[in-house]
Amino acid sequence: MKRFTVVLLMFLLVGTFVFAAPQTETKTGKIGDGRTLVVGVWGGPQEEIIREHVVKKFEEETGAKVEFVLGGSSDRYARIYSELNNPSMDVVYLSMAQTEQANKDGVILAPNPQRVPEYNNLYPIAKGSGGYGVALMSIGLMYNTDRFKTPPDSWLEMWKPENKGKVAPFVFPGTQGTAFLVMAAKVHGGSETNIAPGFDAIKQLKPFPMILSGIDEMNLAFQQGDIWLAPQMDGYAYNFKDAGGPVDFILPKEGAVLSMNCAAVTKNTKNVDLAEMFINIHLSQDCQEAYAEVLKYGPTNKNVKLSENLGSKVVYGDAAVAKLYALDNASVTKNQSAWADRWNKEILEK
Amino acid sequence: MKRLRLKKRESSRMLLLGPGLILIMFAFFIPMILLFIIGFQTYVPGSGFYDKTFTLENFVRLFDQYHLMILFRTFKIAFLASLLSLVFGYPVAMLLAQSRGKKKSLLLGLILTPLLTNVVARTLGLMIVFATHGPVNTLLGFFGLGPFKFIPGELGIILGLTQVFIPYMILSINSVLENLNFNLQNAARDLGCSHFKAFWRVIFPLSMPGIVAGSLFVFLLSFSSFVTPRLLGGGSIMVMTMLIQQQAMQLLNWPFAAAAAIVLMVFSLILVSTYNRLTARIERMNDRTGIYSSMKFDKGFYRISRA
Repeated sequence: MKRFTVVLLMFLLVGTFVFAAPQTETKTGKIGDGRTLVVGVWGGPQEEIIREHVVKKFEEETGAKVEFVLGGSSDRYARIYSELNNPSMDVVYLSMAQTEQANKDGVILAPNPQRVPEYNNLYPIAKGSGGYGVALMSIGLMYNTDRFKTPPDSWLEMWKPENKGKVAPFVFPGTQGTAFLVMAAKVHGGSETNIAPGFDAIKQLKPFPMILSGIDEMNLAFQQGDIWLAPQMDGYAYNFKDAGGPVDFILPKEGAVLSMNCAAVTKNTKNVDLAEMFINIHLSQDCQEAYAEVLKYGPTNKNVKLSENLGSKVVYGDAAVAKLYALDNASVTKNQSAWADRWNKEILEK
Repeated sequence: MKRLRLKKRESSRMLLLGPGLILIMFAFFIPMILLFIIGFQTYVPGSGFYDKTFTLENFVRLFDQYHLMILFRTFKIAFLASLLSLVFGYPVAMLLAQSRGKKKSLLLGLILTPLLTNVVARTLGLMIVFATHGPVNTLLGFFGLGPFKFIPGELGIILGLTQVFIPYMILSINSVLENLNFNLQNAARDLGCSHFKAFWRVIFPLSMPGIVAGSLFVFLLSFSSFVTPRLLGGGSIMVMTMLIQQQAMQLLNWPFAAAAAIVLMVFSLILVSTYNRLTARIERMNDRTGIYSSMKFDKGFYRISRA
């Protein structure tokens, strides 16, 4: 009897694995027959846009299936290094700095204009990261419109005594956090290679109402008047403004920081052909326009046309791109660990 | 013949243990060994790869003043969360042990429901409740208090951890109280003890095994939790788990993150063994006063729950 129970349990166990295994695909005679492309991307609106504007067309053209691994870019960034020899993702979406580093370390493949024809239509900056730039953003100043009747025009507004205690920095390291640290240094006589003035300047902003790490809590704090000024990405600020938030966004005169999301093909993937087809569809008008509409992310493709109204709210066109300051990411990445140490000790603690 | 059957039973037992052992092997031991190795390797600034050269630098850096302070803060937060869970959880466990029928099912349901909810969802709920302009501060405002800045802050994290892990404390204490003969309390009262004394001198010491198990659960879970400190600390209160995440995921400094993880684990192990030894001594002391031998108490449970 006992033996029977054991055997039964074993069968159940084996059965679980058998039935949990992916089912085999039916043949359609296309290139992606029975193949699956795994795409690592941010969840929420980005996933929805890609499902609607990339995946449908891709699956129809290739016959392959698409699977998503959703999460933040740092999860993917760490994974492509640790899974270098046998990547679980074929296409990964990363930040600009992460893409540059991954390209330098050779964990992603170099762009392939022959298989990704849209690559030829990208702005130079979108070609420069070592991956495929997919969306352009600017990091400037989000301000409370109840407090500022005339919009501020400078990063230095944050250090005016009347705003003390109402200025919130973004957590470091992070897209907005890193940009803010560098800009704080730049407007106080420093740079990526001389960051000390940035730390000193941010220390002067204490006490912070909070250190920003999430969009929702940040918006709530602006709504409740706890924060008047903070660094932010254009798209997030405009979307909150459109939702009725008492905020607006400016590009400070000393320069706003260019931020870019990139797509890349992992090295050693067996699905390079599919991954490149997938990215090519992402770079086309349809998907890039949806990004601009929903997220206010600017197109990286010169041929993408936006309506005048939409075009004024996103980073759009040669002139707009040229106005933004691109961080010296090589210096940033090299010093990042030391800066994080300093951030932990000097900014987070007393 | 008899021996053979025994052997058979042993082998089928092993067969049942097999899948679990394999899982633990691959999901725990091997990654732990790898972490241990990586912890002694060298970080290369400006690269996502680390150098395989042996170094003790990561551990030296971990024992500087700042990182010791982070370790102490993590300890303090977990300790206070366990203490609060005990203070708030004990009366609930008592009530649960003494109620019967529908009331008991309802109480149990109320205690267990939070465990069925995802910890992120629960913590986000807490963020709303404890917000600067949230319900708690509004309520305190009526009494002319506040507004307090619970979050982001240590107090918020401690309250959050207490809320998240208190069911473990309640259930551990309850399982001991369930088997306790409450006539002992009446006897103590008969012999002239006050209400409080009857509890403090009789019931409380007898429930020690539950308190030990419960506080160990809550402490270790709090000590190693990431989501609650991350959300309620808002990125501004650094604890060990957040340090590990920052180093591993954001900076790709795996060697330092691995070293921090090892220190966190070793520290936990030391705490657990010290705690066990301490409570064993208390148990022996209780034994000498005759309190354990005078009651019908399943010591087997105690041993299991301490392990």
